[in-house]
Parts: sequence; structure tokens; C-alpha cells
Amino acid sequence: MEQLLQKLAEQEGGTTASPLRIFLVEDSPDVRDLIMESLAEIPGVLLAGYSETEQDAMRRLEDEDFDVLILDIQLKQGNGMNLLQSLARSGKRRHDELKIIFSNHVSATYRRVGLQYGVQFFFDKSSEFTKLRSLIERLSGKGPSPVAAAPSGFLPA
Amino acid sequence: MRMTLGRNDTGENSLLEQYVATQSNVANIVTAAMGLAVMVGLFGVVVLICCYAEEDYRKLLADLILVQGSTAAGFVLAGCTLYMQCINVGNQSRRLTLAARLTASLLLLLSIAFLLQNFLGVNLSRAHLPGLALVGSAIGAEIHPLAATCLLLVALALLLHDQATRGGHYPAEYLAFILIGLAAIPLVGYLYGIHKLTFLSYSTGIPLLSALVFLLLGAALLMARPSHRLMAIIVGHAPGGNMLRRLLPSMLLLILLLNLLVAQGAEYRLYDDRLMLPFLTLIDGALVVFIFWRFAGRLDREYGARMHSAAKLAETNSLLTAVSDSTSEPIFVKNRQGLLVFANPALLQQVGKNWEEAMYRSSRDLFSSIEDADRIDEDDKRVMASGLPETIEQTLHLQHGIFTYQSTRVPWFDKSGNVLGVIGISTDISERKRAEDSLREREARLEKTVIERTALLRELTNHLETVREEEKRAIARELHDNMGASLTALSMHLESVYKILPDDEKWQERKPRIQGLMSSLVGTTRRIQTELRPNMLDLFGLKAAITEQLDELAERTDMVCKASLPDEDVVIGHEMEIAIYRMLQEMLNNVAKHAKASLVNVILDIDEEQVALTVRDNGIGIPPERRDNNKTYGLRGLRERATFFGGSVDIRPASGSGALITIRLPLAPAAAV
Repeated sequence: MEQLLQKLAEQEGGTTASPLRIFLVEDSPDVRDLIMESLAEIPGVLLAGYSETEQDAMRRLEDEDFDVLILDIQLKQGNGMNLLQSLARSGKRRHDELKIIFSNHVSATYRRVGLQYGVQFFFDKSSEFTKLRSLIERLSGKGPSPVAAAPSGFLPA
Repeated sequence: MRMTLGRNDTGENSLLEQYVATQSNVANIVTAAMGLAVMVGLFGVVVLICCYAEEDYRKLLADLILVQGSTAAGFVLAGCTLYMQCINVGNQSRRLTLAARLTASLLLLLSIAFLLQNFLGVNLSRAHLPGLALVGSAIGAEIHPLAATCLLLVALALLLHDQATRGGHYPAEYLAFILIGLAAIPLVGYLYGIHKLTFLSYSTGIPLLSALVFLLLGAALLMARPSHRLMAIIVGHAPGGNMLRRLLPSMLLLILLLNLLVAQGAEYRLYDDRLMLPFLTLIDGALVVFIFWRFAGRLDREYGARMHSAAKLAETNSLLTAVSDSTSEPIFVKNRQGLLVFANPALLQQVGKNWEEAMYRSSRDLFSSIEDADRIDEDDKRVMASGLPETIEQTLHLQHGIFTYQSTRVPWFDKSGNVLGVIGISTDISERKRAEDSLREREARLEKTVIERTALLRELTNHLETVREEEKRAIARELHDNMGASLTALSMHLESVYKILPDDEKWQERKPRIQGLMSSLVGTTRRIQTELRPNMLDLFGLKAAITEQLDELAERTDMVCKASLPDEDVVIGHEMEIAIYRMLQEMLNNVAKHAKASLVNVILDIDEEQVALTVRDNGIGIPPERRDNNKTYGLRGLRERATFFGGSVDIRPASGSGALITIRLPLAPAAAV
């Protein structure tokens, strides 16, 4: 995982001019606003768009270009896991974007299933927002060095 | 009754009466005739032998020799013929008939020859059959003309034995009577010692033995055919025959005795010879009066008894008629051919005919429906064949509607146990039948209603379950969308707030408390949400949901939880999945609450026919009274759910310790159960 992160950081670092494009799938407006506000503060981060439902997200993700996908599991319509499954099946997209689950459902079972769909990070919505933010900061290349602030929320791979 | 009276009255004839009363009397009489025939034949043979006896024995056998060889030859022929005719009653054997004819004809020729010899002095045997002369003087000598006449009569009677006139008379019988009468003449002569009667104006007297044998022959001739007209009278059961049997022998004996006494009196000079005739007249007159009076008395008694029994019969008859006429239950009697021989008014009304129309009719003529008639005939035939009574329920299509009868059929026996027909009594049970039918119909309807209601209840239970799940889902959704989201947002806000908390000791000490409260709040909300709506089930299916439950249980209770799940994905429909999920939840709750177990095994098995979910723990087990108690909420809930899907719950102690609960649900659609 560390290696992966390093690789990603290098990738981003190599193209400092282009910002880190983030797509957010979150159904609760309160939470969504908060995340967007918070992430927008990070320099070099661009919010490519957001979606509230699985269908809408699926449709928009086909067209949008993004580097990081942050998604919730339970949505007003559909769910994040199905979305990941559909994305994997559609095959239109390259699969190197970073997929982060930011949800209340972070039990071992979810983590296991998520891994199957190429999810790299899981964060508990209620307690690990800081960790998500740190990760994004580091990916955008503006945050503290990865080694210095190894986030504790990282999954043991 | 008549017979017993007669027997008591006439003790002397009781044996004869009994003899006549027996069923086999006719055959016995023929047998007796056979015996007599044999006796006569043998007698003839003995006489013939005696004729050639040595001179020394002649004196001893004088009586037998007196009978003469010629007569004896006639006796032999007569005996043989009669014996053959006795064996051959009804002329069954042609050969015997021919032989009898032959011997009788020989006898006829012989007797004619004797008569010719007597009256014309022609000695045929000497003149034309010189061979006979060699036999000696025994045969061929002149015999008494009465004996010759008797032989002629015997020959004629034998030849005409079975010939009847147009009026039903048998000449042979009359000939036999004449024979007896002729034989009686010399016998009476011998009895009274009057030579005129034994000699009958001939040079020698007819021998006593010959006369006796002729008498026996006459009797035997009559007895050989007891069914012929005259014999039938004395042999028969009718009062006439009775009277004859009782009175005739005693009267003959009485006349003989009294007359003998009168004659003896005259002989011993007790009175003048001239008085004999008046005496005889008086005695015979008295006897005749006595006979007629007695005869008349008997006749009257017979008549009275007959009248009495007729009156009784009439009474019984009228009683029977009254019963059969007044009863509303059809009664009938049919003969072996199935033709109606008796019917009471109820039956006539049943078939809608009067007696003249119904008499000697078959069932097909009586009943309009051929099927009914055939069925009735079938039943009747079966009863007649088996000889056992039967009670049958029959439905008849009559002119005035369809009726159901309970009919009892009894075979009709004669005295010797032969089936003469069938007797039937029917009872109209249409009302009862209707009531039974309506009861049955109501029962069926009730059963149908019960089934419908049960289905309705199941539907309702299903609906309630759906509603419950729906409600839970709505609450879960609400929790997630509003409270959950708000809580999350609040937590995230707080995350930022923590950073700017004053760095004094008080706030630093409060920070973890706030965090703890927050995470407890979030945790509870999540737990409630998950319990209300198994999100996992919706997202990843049953296998994942079971795994999640077990993970959670393990986390909550420190029990070791193991799952054995099928490799392939489980697709059994949302309703059943949620039911299984809920049942597992229930069972795991029970285990956690009561079992005190350290290990739980969950096994899910699916084949083409059913889903089986087994939960085994190593705890204290479920006590039997609790196991079977339907009031125990958890177990009852399990059973209700399983029953709804047409499945079953099996609770038993696990090997070792603990409990083993297996739920089996068929994979057929629930509606089929």
C-alpha cells in the first residue's frame, strides 16, 4: 500500500500543473457539503463532480475524468458497492483511479467485498474524516511528507 | 298332528303307521315285494328238489311234494319275473324288461297248458315235448285247475304290470286282487275244515302251501308297484289311506276270529247248526255297524282337525295380511326366476301397479329404470346363491321421484332347505339419506372454509410480516437519511472542533468524553439500523449477511463463531432470504442469551429441493419443556416463519452438549403449501 501511495504521489508529482480531480458519491447533503468544503481548502484539488444516487453516478462517471473516487455505501438509490461492480464491468474506464470508501459501514465483511472491487482505502465516516483529508492532502502533493505522517487509517493490506 | 293322534289310538298298527310315515316307505315296500318274490322263487326251487327226493324222505316232505313240480315251476318263473320287475321299476333297463317279458310269457304259456290239460285233457308236454317226460312224473302231472287259473292270473298281472288304462287304472292290480280272492277260498276252507272249499269239485284239493304262496304272490304283485292307483290309496298320507291301514287288518282279523268261534261253538254242539247262520248274521252285522261307526267317527275327527287347522291357517293368514297390508314398508317375495309371487300394497304403490298387473312380473316390468331393475335382480341372485340374508342400500328412480331404501333380502327356504326364492322388506330412508348428504355437504363446505381461512390467515401473516419488514425498512431509511447523516455530519464538524479546543486541561479531558459519547451514539444508531434492515443482505446476499452476523456476534460475545456456507451464490428469493436471516438472528440471540456456549456453528445447505439452516452450540442445551413449549416466543417465532414457508423446525440436543436447531424450508413456492 505504501508503494502504491508512493507511486500515485509520484504520478501526481510529475504533473504538478494538473490538479487532483476528485469525484464524490454521497447522498446526505450535510455530509457532502462538509466534505466538499473541507477538500476544497486543499490546494491542487479539484472537485470534478458529485452524485447522490447510483444511477446518476454511473451515468456521470462514464463521461467525467477523475483521479480519486470517494463513495458512500448506502445511497438514496442504489449503493456504492453496486456502483463499483458496474464500473468494473463496464470496462470503459481505466482502473488506475484511487477508490476510497467513506462510509458508516466499515465492517470486515464490507472491507473484504470492497477489496474485490479494487477499493484501496476505507474510512469510517464518523471518526476518520481527518484521515481522509490527510490522504487527499498528501495525494495532491501539498501535504506533509507521506513518511512523516503515515496515516493510521490506512488499511493493513 | 294327525299322525300322532292315530298312533295313540291304534297301538297295534303303530309300527305300520310309523313305517308308512317314513319318507322312504315306497322304496321299502318295493324291497319287501322283492323279498316276497325271492321267497316264492326259492319255495318253487325247494319243491322241485323235493320232487326228486329218495323214497325214504318222501313221507317227511309230503306237504312240499303235494305242491307238485308243475306249480313249483310256475312259482320259480313268477318269482324271477317279479324280482326283475322290482329291480327295474320304471323300466330303466331294457334288458331286464325283455327278460321279465320272456319269463312272464313262459309262465303264461305254462298256465295255459295246464288249463288245457285240465279242461280238454290235452297233455301237451307228453304229446309235443317228449323231453319233459324224462324229467319224470313231477312235472307234467295234472294240477288243480284253481292253481292253474292262479298261475294264469299271475302271468297276466306280470305282463300287464305297468300298463294303465286311459282312466289311470292298472289292470294288474285288479288281477292281483282277484288272485288274492281266489287264493283265499281254499285257505278259508282249510281254516274251517270244509273240504268242499279246498277240493272245489275236483278230484284232489289244492294244497295249503300253494294257496298260501298264491296269496303272498298277490300281495307281492301289489307291493311291487306301490305308486299305482289302488296301492297309492293305502300307502298315501291322506285320511283314506290312514283309515284303511288302521281298520282293514284289525277288521279282517276280527271277522275271522268271531266267525271261527261261532263255527267252533256249532261243532262242539253248544247250539244247533241252524243257529249258526243267524249268529253269523248278527255278529257280522254288529261288525259292519262298528266299522262304519268307527269309520264315520274317524272321518269326522279328521274333518274337525282339518277345519281347525284351516281356521288357524285363515287366522294366521289374516294376521299376516293385516301386517303386510298396513305397513308402509314394501314387502315382496320372488321365486327363483325373479318373478313376483307376493307383494304388499306398499310395494304395489311403490311400483305404481295393482296386483293383477304386477303378479308374476320380473323387475324390468316393474321398475321404469332398467339399471335399477338389473341391480335389484343382481342383489336377489346373490342372496339366493349365498343363502345368507343381506341388507342393501338402494336408490330407485320411481314415478314419483327418487327414493332411497334400505332393503333387507332374506332367502326363502322350503322345509328341506332348498332356496325357493327371495323375500325382501324395504325401508324408505330417503329423508335420512338426504340429511346425511346435507350433513356431508356442510362438512365439506366447512372444511373448505377452514382451508380458505387458513390460507387467508397465512396470507395475513405474510402481509403482517411484509408490513413489518417494510416498516423496519422505512425506519432504517429514516435513521440513515436523517439521524445517521446528521450524526455523521456532526462528528465531522466535531473533528474540526477538536483541533481548536483550548489547550487547557479541562477541555483536553473533555475531548475523549465527547468522542466517546459520539462514537457510542453513532454505534447504537448503526446497530439499530442494521438490525432493522440487514443492509448486508440487500447488498451482498445471504452468505455475506450470515458472515456479518457471525462476525458481529463474535465481536459482541467472545464466542467462537464458525460458518459453513455453500460455495456458489445463494439465490432463493428476497422473502425467504430475509426469513432465514431473521431466523438466524433469532437463534443466535437465543444462543447468546441462554446457551452459555463458547462455540457456535452455522451451516447453510442448499440443494434443489430445500434450504437447511443449522445452528449448533456447545452450551447448556434447551430443556425439553421449553423446546416443545410454543409459548416461548423465540422458538414460536421460528416455527411460525418456517410454517409460512411450508418448512419445519427440528430442535434436538447436540451430540456432546448444547443444542442443535435445524430449519428446513422447501424451495417450492410458498403458495403450494
